[in-house]
Amino acid sequence: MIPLVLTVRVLAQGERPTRVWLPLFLIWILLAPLLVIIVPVVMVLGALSGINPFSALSRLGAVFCALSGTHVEVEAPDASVFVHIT
Amino acid sequence: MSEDRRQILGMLAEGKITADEAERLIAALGEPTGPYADPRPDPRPSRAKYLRVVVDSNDPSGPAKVNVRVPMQLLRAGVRLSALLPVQAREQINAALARQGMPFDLSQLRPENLEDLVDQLSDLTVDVDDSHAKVRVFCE
Repeated sequence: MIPLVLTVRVLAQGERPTRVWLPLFLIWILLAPLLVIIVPVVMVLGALSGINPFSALSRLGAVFCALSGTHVEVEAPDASVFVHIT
Repeated sequence: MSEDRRQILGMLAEGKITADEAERLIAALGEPTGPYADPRPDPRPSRAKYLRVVVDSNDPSGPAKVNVRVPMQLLRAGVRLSALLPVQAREQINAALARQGMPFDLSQLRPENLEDLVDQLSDLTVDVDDSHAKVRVFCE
């Protein structure tokens, strides 16, 4: 399943807390038209570097899809970071 | 065969219950029925979905906590992606790993060995207990 929501929270001592809730599904929809540009660029770069562009695209896609469920939480005395991908 | 299942089959053999009743009772136990039901437990453990790293530190500078959950699927995808690395880049990475005391050849990491590797990771558990920190690496 593709990642749908990214949640980021950064709390640092003496600074304003940052909370970001990013609906990734909207970004995917917005980026979809850009694929028309990205795919030929990847094809050319792949051909120049000797990498199969179809394989590269599918494997990169697999990495993006696998990001769903990632959770990183770090709490230190002076700062804390929370990243969650749903 | 479980004791309950044995009792039900015994009652069926003695004629105390009908075959339909025995089937319903066995189904209620949640055990497989029918001629192809395998009475042995599944030897494969359920596959782990996440790799977890939990660090609980009580450093003199202050307590710190780290909680990381990485999907196993991401590890699989990452290893597959590494197969796309150009030979020169792979050699440089191998050399850098060797310098750090990890003589590992990335080219040996083949997709056909990947499932075995990730399956073995499922059994991995690392527990480090220190006076100032506690580290746990495990799969769930």
